[in-house]
Amino acid sequence: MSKRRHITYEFDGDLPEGTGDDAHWVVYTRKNAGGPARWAGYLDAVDVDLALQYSREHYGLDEACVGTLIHRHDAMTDSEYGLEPLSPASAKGDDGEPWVVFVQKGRGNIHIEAGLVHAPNARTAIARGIASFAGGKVTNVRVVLQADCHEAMQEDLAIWREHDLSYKYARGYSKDVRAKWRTFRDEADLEGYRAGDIKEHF
Amino acid sequence: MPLRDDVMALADDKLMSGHMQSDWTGLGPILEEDIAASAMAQDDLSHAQVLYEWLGGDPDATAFGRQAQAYRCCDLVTLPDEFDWAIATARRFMCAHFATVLLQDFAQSDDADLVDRAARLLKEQAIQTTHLNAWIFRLGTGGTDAHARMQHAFDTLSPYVGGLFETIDQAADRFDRWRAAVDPVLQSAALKIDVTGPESTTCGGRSGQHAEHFILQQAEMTQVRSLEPDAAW
Repeated sequence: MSKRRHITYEFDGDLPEGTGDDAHWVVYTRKNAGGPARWAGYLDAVDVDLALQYSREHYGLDEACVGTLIHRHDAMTDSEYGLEPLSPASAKGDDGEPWVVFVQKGRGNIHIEAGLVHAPNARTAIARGIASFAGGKVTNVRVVLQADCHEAMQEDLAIWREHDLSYKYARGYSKDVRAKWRTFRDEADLEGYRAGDIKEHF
Repeated sequence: MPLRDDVMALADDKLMSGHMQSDWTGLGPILEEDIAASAMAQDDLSHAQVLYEWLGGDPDATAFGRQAQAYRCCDLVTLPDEFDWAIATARRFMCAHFATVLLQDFAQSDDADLVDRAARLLKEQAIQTTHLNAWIFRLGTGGTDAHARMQHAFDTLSPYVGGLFETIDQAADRFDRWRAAVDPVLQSAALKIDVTGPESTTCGGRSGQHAEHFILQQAEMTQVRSLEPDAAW
């Protein structure tokens, strides 16, 4: 551990109150251009610009991808969660605003972008989403107004790095290196003990 | 050979910047920024590796096997930030734009291999400048306390900015381009930096005349290599 980490923080008085503008965002990643956005995780950010940047730096580096899609957590509406696949439906219509539909193919699976429906409200969007994309094979449908979805794409600003990233992964931490580190740490501990022992007795 | 010297200067800047910023891992002001800053610190280390490879030889040996006076990083990159986020952010902002200026020129050089490497690195460098521009704006306009901290950071660091251009080829032209990149961001954030021009006469890190803070950082960074020169990861 770096010696610089041994700094003890001192605060003068209480920390300022939060501004309350932090929002919870849902993040999806696209593995290839034209491919569906797949749920990746969550993050917190005060606005869409920072949220997009964090989505790239956080989830965009988990695996090769060409884009991230985000929306505020409170912008989504999910259908009822149940054990069985949603029953086929026949809700039709193209009035209203465009909604992005995500489907979950089984309980515990991730939500994956399925397509668009037009609807005047979330409830109708879910009904039309089930009719268009569920097909009796998905357990949950999520809808988000397309206007509330924001995307970062590789061609605008790099997401997945082109250079060798292998050094980042723990698999490079071989047994040999671990053994050497332990030797180094043990030697440092022994030196510390010796110094303390000498100080204590002399 | 000015080009090789400039590449070495930038590579060493990147190496030490990545090393310094890595100290923030786990200590960032918010989790998301901690992750983002750590990813960019890793990018800096990777960029150093890419440039060391172009210079030739074993990148690990170049990064960790030299005597202190052989490093060509400027004093600014190893100046202790004392875990002051404003200092760290202001420094990253200024260094990222400096790196962009040099990489743009490397991408226009006569060396095809360097052109290819610089073009790739420029894409990733844009991530840093975009991210840091956004943070400078937010902190500069984020209230009196945040603005005061940022201005203090720039005031603290401004004496070291000239060192960025020490020994750098075409320093005056590159300094102008650097200012053209940082000034609009600073102005939008109501911040200013008191630097009048590149200090070509400065004799500091780029000349191998390093301050004590570099020696300490380099000693820590090369600790494992010194213990086990052939360690493989």
